[in-house]
Amino acid sequence: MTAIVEPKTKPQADRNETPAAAAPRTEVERPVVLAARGLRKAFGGQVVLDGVDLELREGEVILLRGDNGSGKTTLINILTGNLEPDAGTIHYLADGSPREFRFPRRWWQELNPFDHFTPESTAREGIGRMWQDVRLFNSQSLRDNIAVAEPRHLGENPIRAIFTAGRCRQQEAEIARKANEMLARLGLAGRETSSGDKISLGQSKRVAIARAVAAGARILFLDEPLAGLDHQGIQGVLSLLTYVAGENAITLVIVEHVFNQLHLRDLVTSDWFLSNGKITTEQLTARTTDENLKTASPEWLKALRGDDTEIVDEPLARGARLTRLRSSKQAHANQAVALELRDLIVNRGSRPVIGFDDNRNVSGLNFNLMQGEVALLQAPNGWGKTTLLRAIGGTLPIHRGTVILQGNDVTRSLAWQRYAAGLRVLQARDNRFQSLAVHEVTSLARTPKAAEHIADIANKRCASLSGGEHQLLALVTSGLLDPDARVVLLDEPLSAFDGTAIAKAVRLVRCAAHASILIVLPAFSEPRI
Amino acid sequence: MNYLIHLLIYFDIYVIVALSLNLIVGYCGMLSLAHAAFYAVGGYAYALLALKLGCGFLPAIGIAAVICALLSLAVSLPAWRLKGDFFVLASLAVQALIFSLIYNWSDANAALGTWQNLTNGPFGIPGIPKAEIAGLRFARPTSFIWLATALAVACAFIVWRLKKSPWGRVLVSMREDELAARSLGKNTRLLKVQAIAIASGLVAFAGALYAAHVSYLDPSSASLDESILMLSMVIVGGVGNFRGPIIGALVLIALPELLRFAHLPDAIAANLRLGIYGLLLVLMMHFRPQGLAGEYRLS
Repeated sequence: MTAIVEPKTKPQADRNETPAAAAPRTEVERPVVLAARGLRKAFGGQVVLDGVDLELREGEVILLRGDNGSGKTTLINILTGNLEPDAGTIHYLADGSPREFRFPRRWWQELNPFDHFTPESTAREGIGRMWQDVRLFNSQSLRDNIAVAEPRHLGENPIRAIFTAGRCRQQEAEIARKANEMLARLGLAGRETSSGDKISLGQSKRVAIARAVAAGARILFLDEPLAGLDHQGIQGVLSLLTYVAGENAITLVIVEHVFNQLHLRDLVTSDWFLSNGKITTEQLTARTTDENLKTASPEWLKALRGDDTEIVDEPLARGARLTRLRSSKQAHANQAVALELRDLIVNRGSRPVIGFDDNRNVSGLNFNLMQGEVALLQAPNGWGKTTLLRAIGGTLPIHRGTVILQGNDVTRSLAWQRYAAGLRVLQARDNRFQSLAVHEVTSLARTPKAAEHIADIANKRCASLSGGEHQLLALVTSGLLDPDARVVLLDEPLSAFDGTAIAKAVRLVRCAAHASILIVLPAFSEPRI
Repeated sequence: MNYLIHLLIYFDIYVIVALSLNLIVGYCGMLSLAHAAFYAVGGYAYALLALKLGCGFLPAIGIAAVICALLSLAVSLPAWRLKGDFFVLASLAVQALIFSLIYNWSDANAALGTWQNLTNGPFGIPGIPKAEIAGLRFARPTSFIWLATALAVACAFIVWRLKKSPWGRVLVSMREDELAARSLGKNTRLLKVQAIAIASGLVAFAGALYAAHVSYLDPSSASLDESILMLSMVIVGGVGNFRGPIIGALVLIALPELLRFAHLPDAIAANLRLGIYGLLLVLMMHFRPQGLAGEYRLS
């Protein structure tokens, strides 16, 4: 198992050591750990990668950027063995013995069961991956999540497990000890036997990174590692990534949402931009990140309701904040209430999730949304944002309190009844119909005006859409274009959006001037909104 | 007393069946309808080896287990690509194929055990020798119960040891998220082959025990009804842990015995039993999908 070994004290500088001897390896000195030449991939005639050449060096940290649908996920899927390119070669050089894969593969190569291009074969070449949705083994303990990553474990041979259990137990004890040490360094001492679903998102992301390192990854591909995290969670993951890249010299390739790219500025050594099927590289500078973040600046917020928008912050319990965007006209008019929550308490099992304050007193949540208003709800992880939207939408029971929609008490109404009353809810996850085509989904959602917003993907099947295209489709069918919608609740609608996609989202929200909109954002992010 | 001993012998046999099937269903997360086929092949292999070649009990069941483990490739190779409902269909196809072979591999003009008449078709194989180990013959139920219990305990020990091992842990990881397991370098194809081979080898022991106890075997032991009964034991008892299949075997063995005391006419008792199994499955899936004592829900 490759351990994340953190020195307890920094080594004392040797006074006799010359500066030259202590200097870090330069870019050129670092060995190449992965090289790809001429990678091509097309889906149904649409070329996504068009002769991509790339080289990864030991210890580099690459930020992989690109617009939605530019092929970032396709490239990562190819390099991690989840997808075969149509053409090109990939050289894996991280693990002592180099291995080359040429594409297209010949038919006789598929017959050899030991020469398949698969996730497990690339993992054995030192490739690791962390997904956006983490993917810990939730039915197993944290210790087992890390221990299972151990390569070449004797006990994973069933014959040895039965007949040489003693030797396997010795090896297992050593692996368990190292796993416990790793968890302790991640701040999870005492939680070794907790299951993967009992820890916070930030903690689970750190465990997932540690698991990939334990599996022997020399190159780690990370898909939005900072997504959904609050400030503390972001700092925890960044600290671990910095250590992994610096001390363990593991190469990192990070795909990250535009809102979080600023956090990576001190860590990233190279910026790759994927566009028109090719990669251009540049060294990341402060100017670059500022330009990247233009669409992430508060300016897009004012565009939601026009130039004269007033931004009003209201603090809520437990560190949450409700930000109202009102035009001056709205601010001074006598607005009716579109949605009102009174003393709302929502439990998960016996545990209150919504409706308790900073002192753990259960007092109920109160806020309202005015007619035609756009509001943003930002809260730390674990606050219960998704639970709140599900309770308002009627798919989770309410323990106590009242939900009033357009002046009508809908607390006891079923979800479809609330829909009929004008409520629309877009979930953050599970909002895809993989087997349908895009035009079928818009038909299902009865959104006649959808076509103008998704003209370039209308005939695609949902299964072939990129993450950003999926999210755009979800937004288009969320109710923003539905003239019967009165209140629209959007759970993390901007995830997977980059660059111009955010502008499209703003245009969609402006189309819904007839409705009140509550947008839930994943966490406090810089710059603060 | 004899009645109770017979019941316990069947309990031992079906404990082996349920624990072995749990390796596939509970630990790999794959619903297999082919388990009865391997159970029957194990029984037929023991019967032919003992009857025609005079093999002792232990060598015969060892060979039967190897035959079933090799045959299990017919199920484990499709599992590389087929998941969910498609894997179930593939296992059903294997079950139907093996049943058909057992039912039809006969020739009235040829002697039993020859290539023309390997299984004696629908007439089955009568006069299967009782188990004999080192001169000790387990002819009576009062002695056979010890053999059956010892074999059941041995199989249970093997399954328990595998469950607790790193192999068991990586199986559970594969069940939960196969792609994540593969991305850690785990060869999930090999894992499936291993799990299904071990399960098939173990159920061959159960088939041989049954053949040695009853001294008669016919194709009904390879029927789909038997596979459904086996699956019911695992689902009703609960998957993914050690005690669930044992409880399931106990419940499903006890249930038809309880019906005896209801004095139902023989004509409907058997059909009613099947209906009850089906109803139990539906009720369990609806109200308690993790089974009576299971660890995880089949989805």
